[in-house]
Amino acid sequence: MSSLTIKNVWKKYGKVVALKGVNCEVKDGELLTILGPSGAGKTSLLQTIAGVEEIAAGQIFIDQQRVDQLPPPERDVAMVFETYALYPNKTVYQNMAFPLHSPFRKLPKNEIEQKVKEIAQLLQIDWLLDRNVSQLSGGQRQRVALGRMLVRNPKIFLMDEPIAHLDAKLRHRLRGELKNIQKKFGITTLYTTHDYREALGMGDRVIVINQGNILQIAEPEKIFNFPKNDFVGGLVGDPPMNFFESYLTSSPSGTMLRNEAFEVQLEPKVAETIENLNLDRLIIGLRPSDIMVSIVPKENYFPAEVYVVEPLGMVQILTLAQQKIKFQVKYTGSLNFEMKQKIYFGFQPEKLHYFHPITGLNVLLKEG
Amino acid sequence: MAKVELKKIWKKYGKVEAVKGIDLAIQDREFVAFLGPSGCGKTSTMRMIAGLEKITEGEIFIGDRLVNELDPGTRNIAMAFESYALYPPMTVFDNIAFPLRAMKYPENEIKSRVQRLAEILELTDVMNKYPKGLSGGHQQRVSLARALVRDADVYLLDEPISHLDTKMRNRMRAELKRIHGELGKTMIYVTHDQIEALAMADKVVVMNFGVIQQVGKPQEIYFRPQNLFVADFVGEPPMNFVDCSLELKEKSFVLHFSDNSVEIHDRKKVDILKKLENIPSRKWIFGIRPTNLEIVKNEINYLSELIPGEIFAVEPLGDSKIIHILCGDKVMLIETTPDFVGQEEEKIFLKIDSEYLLLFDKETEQMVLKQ
Repeated sequence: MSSLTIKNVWKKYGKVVALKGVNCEVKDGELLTILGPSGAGKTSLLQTIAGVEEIAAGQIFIDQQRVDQLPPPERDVAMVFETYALYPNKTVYQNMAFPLHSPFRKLPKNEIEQKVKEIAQLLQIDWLLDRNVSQLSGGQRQRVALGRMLVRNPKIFLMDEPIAHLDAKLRHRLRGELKNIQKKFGITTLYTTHDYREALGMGDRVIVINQGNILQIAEPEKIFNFPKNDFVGGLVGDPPMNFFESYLTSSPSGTMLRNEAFEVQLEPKVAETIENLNLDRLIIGLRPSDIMVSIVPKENYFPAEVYVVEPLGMVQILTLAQQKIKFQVKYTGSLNFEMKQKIYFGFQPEKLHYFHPITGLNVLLKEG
Repeated sequence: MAKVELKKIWKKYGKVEAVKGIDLAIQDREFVAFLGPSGCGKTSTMRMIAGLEKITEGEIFIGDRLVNELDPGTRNIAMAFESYALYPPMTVFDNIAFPLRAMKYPENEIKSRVQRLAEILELTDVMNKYPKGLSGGHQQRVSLARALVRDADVYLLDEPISHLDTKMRNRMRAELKRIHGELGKTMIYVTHDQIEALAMADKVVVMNFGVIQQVGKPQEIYFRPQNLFVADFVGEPPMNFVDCSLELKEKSFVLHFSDNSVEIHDRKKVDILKKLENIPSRKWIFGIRPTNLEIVKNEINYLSELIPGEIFAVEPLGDSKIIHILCGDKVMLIETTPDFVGQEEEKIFLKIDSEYLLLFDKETEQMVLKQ
């Protein structure tokens, strides 16, 4: 059980700057997911913590002890890579015991056996100890890989996209299982992924990172509902958030935002904040699940044409078009729609996100 | 008119039987998706339609023509594949224009057609670049544009958007479906991605082991899968499957599994079950999708209709939550709304929405209760 503090860490590969002054604190027992596109700096961050890569500047602490100058074995962190990399021709027992045979440990044989059996029991894989790893299901393999890390009793787990290469169905199950095991053992864990579902689904908190900068650190619901900028907004959610470049106008009843698809009257408080920015336009973000549709006109609904309907079982993804704008709706009702049908859409104004047209920042969100 | 008909089609590579006598009728103007895991025979089937593979046995008709012995070039088909096969010394524009120039289209028509597609497929910024400098996603869209720019009877598209990033793939899915709607041409689409197949196709052909598992509209495939394979392959998060035995009563039936049992009151299903034989002695699997299970707390009534369980993990995904529930030794997935509140190890009950309950015979793996 350990905490981790990262202070102003920079990482450079030649001229390429992979991390640009990263700061974060990971609480004891926390599962922190690190979400970003490829090249964002996710793996670099893990590698600097593990000590596989040296940092250019900054400090890293584990339990208030500075570790960034220590060689990897002395940091007491365990790192796993893609798809867990088990030894396929060894048994479950051999795989799990492997880290304990390290020359740094010199554990007696009976102690190794005791340790492996204890962890195997907790993970409910003790009945598999004599099996070859190649005979196991995906879920069992994950438990063996976690077991191999757990026998070392490291202070921190670092997991680099461990299930990214498995098929989608299996990933669903492994996510739940991994989260459950992490909670059970309470080991502080950092987990990288480019899949927003993994990041939100598993993390106690989520770090969103891009181009070596941390964009937001927050609980999953906050990341989804209060994205710090348009990048974060667009990164989480499927279908992705719709963006509408919108122009500010004033009307007798107050400040309005207009785009080709709809217009919205701003609440006085929102209007005041936005007016203070002295902008003539803003980017409105609106999630597909926050748009409602109707086949008849309604108050505060706007017309649009059905561009495409995609039936996905219990949900239908509608792409709607209005002039040159296209946007998507996640529809869970029972109506059927047809291509080129005229329909109406609406939304609750509080579901709108307002982003700065140049910086991309969510203009209503305060720091933190 | 471009119907495509497959009659008892076989494909053998030496001793390996890739396609095992499939029959299929594709209607004129239809968008048909071949869906299945790698090695299921979907690409072999498409390549035989294209004329890129010899047909081992059987007949393929395009329109009224038997095409078995015709070269790909004379079948009047347009193709795009997962690999791009672009012409390196030509710009993107020239690559897309190539098939039209070969057919001596007037230059102004070539220009307008190429530009229209470039706009739809978001390629206008790269029209003067060469393939070498482009990302895989760009190259794949160029390859797709080169197929769609032609006038063909049938368009054959094999995983044409597989190399695009998720967001672009989402958009291109919609655009391809729209293009099909506007063109009104027969399209055959091969994919391993069930979302693509359901989203785009008029008709989905699910394949496995060289055999057609089911042919149906997307909603039929999703709500009435004919066997375990289809039920498992389609839908995300995946369907929950539970081994069980079945006890039929006068007005209900009971599913028994591990230490649990759950009673289902559903007249329609009971009526169908009454026509079946050997119900108690057969082995069964029931299937229920994560969206069709409801989490009930503190329920004291109707206990026989509920499955007790405990929360194993909670995943907040923004506009939904996925709850993993441990029922005996089985973890069930439930998809619910973001406002659900629950803690690990909390005891709850699950209620099955019987309308969506599927029953499979474990031996034959076939769905019963077809309605």
